[in-house]
Amino acid sequence: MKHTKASGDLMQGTLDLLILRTLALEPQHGWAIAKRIEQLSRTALQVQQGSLYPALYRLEERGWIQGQWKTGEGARPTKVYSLTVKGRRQLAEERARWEQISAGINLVLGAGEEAQ
Amino acid sequence: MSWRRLWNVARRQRRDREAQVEMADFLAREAEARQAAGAAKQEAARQAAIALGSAERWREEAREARGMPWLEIAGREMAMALRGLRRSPGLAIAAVLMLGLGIGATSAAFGLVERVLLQPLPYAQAQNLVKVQLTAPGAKLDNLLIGPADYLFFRDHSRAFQSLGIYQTDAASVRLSATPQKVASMDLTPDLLPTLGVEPRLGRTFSPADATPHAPLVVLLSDAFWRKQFGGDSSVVGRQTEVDGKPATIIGVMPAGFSVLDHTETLLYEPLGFDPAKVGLGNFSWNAIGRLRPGVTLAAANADANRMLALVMQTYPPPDGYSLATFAQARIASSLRPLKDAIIGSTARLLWMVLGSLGLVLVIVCANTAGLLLVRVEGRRHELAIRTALGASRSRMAALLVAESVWLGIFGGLLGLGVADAGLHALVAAAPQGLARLPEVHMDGWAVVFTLGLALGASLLLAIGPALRVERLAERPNLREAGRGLSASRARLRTRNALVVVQVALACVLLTAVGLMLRSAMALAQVNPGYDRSQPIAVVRISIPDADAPGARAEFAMQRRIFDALSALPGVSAGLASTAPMDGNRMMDPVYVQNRTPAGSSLPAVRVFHYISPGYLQAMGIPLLAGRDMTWQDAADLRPVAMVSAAFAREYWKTPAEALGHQIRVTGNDDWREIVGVAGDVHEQGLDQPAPAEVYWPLLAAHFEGSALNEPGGVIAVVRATNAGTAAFSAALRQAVWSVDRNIPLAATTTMAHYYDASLAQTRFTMSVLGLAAGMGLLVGIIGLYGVLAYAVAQRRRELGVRIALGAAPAGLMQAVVRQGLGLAALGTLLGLLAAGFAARLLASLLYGVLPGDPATFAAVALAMLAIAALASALPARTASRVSPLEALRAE
Repeated sequence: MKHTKASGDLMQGTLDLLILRTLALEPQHGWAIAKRIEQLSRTALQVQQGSLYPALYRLEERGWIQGQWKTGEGARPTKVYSLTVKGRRQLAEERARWEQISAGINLVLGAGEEAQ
Repeated sequence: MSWRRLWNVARRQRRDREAQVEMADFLAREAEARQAAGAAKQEAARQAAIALGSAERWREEAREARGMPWLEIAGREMAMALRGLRRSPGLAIAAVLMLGLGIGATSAAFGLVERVLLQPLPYAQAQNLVKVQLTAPGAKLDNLLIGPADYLFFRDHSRAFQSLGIYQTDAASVRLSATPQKVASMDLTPDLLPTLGVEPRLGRTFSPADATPHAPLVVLLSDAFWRKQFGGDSSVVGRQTEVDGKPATIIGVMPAGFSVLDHTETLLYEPLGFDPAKVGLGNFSWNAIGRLRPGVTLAAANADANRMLALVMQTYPPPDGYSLATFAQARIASSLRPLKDAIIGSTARLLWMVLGSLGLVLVIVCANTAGLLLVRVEGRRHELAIRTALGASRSRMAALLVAESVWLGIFGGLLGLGVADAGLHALVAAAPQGLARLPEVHMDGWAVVFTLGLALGASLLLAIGPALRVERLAERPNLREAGRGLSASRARLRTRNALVVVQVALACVLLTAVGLMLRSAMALAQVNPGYDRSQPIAVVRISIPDADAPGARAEFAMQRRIFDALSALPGVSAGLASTAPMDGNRMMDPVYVQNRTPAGSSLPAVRVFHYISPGYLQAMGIPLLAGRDMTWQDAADLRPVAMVSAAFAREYWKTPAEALGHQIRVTGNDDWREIVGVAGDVHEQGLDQPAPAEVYWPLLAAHFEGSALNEPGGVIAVVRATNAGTAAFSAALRQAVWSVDRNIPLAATTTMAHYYDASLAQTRFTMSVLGLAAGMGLLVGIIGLYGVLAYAVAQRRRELGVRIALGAAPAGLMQAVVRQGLGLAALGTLLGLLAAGFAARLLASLLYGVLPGDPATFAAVALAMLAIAALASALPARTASRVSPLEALRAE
């Protein structure tokens, strides 16, 4: 309940949802998450790097995702994020909420068209 | 707690490092991807950096996203601000010193106001306590105390009062060793202490039985007396001692810090009682404190008291020699005052004046510091512009500047606490005697809270200017222009100029107030007190024990022997009298003049009474204007004689000489007494009060105020001698008195100079406080003016250099700077004098012999301000005229 306020924010909530959804497929590092979101949305959604990392840290702070440092791949250490159990539950919730909202919006938009 | 904080800090540092690594990882991957897409290596890195955006902003947002606690953010800003201030220590020290002084001085004044005016009296439910006093418009008397008859009747028949007690200060002779000791005492009715709601710390307080006429004497000790004389010994209760030659039992000790109103000097309390059978009307010489029943208003209590006053007249007989008609003509009415108001009285205005003047200094200091901080922001335009370009948000930079002000406020506040404590002690020490509630003043919690609140308020106020300036700078961050302003733009200087005008104006207000007080003090110093001050005059109170001189005759005889003993001292002139001028004691009653019946049914005017021995007028140096002095024979033979002051004589006759031979008396049954001499006027109630009409009576008189043989009892001896006031002289004086009677207790010897100084004390105190405030305000204000001019000259260095190179006369440049300085000072002075016109009216009751709108003072202040401003402008002007064109251009 503590963080319901943040998920009411559409923009921030949307990015959170996208990150959670991306990580639901497999653990990823930051750059890959950004690219993945761009790919999945067929580059319709450009992720601002300035907001990606803050979002990652925020989600980590809330315990929805978990970062782990990997040094295997070459000399450069990389932080790989994965979804936690809590995060998985949150994803389901966010998704339900998103569908509810988008259904609502669609209804309104559709109703407008019918009225014309 | 500290471990947790340490851990938090460690965690934050680790996270910052990790974020750094992650950012590098991102940059590398983005660059690789772009390179893979065909970009050149360097171009790929550049594009990656653009994709990442501002590193600084990125770091900020990353931190904030992790929910960094606001306290930590504030802490970081504060730390950064502290580093910034340390880079310009001169400014920081100047600002902290000024703020510390300003805050400290204001807080010291607040400490006074808070303790004296705002704190409730130290009694239970003090809001229900009232001072019971009367007015007698028919006798032109205000603030009349009450008489025993009023007390007895009020006590037994009041509806409005829950209880009521009366008291009178006294002096008691206590014998704890071989020689009796004179101590300040108080006679009070048994119901006074319960009225105040006070319990003793040991033993019991007085019971009604203790105050009956033949009850054995019992006394209460003050805490201070108990500690000093009995070492705080609890077994003191029940101990026997000797008070005024009578055996007395100590029944209790009052709690520490207790005093009846301001009578902290009281060491001993004695019960006071009246025999209702012997009480008559009049004798309005008792202080009364009443406790109203809960919910009773002052108006209702006054109505109740007036109802009772009418009944008192029907219940008690008038004193001998007076008729009931006399009392009816006086039209006595109740005039209750809340006890606190009655105590504070005129002190309130004085203290608000102190707070106001020192508060003005703080405003001047704040205006000055604000000017300094504005200069600092201007000087940092370059730095701020760079930080803006690097992505620091405006609010961050504003926060940084606020944090700097807060630091100044914190240090200023801490310094202010020290200054306030010292200042409060200084104020209390310098305050005139008799200032209400002063003994209890010290820095308490409220004063500390006020000081810190003031510091915080001042620092936030100071931050407004720079923070707004940053907003404007941030709107157009122009790196190229920053730090290289050609000539100071008008808009930029306007705020600083306004601040300087405010400083000059307020300093001007303070200076005018000082000027007026100075004129008052000078006028007071010119007042002839009426007695001769050219030589010191020792004053000592002499109370002859009843046991050693029973009856008026015996007392008079002993007084004569004391007079002879004192007069035998080498090189002295001595006299005895009931009271000394300006000593705060005075007796007064209406005086009838034969064949001069007052019009209608009114009473004759009330006159100040003195009972004097021959030689008193001479010893005091009060001139004899007509007739002769009293003689010992006059008194011994009970001749009906009297003397009057010149003011009295002039009121009825044209010249003092014409008063001789006329007859006066106090009551209808008295003998008429012939005026045998007229003395010069004396400023009996202080230099600032007009000399009243006075009457001098002999020490011994028959048929006087209803008594067959009248003797004033306690007298003071006045002794004029070149070495009066020295310890050796006081010792000789004591020996002379004790050569007559070893049992006479002597209070400390004082001098007329002491009373004279006390009479000037309030004016001098006001002048010193205002002088200090004006000095500080003027200094700071002038430094502010100097600062603005010096800064303007420094900013225009290049322009001035060019002008000089082009042949401008240095004198012309000097004039321009001085003109600017004088312009600001003139505007400030004009506004200041206007404000001073209002401020002076508030000061009016403290002024003497000078009008609040005194043109000479205002003109002098204006001239002084302009002269000082011209001086302050001279230095920057000289700098301006000596700018070397080569140097100025090279400096760029």
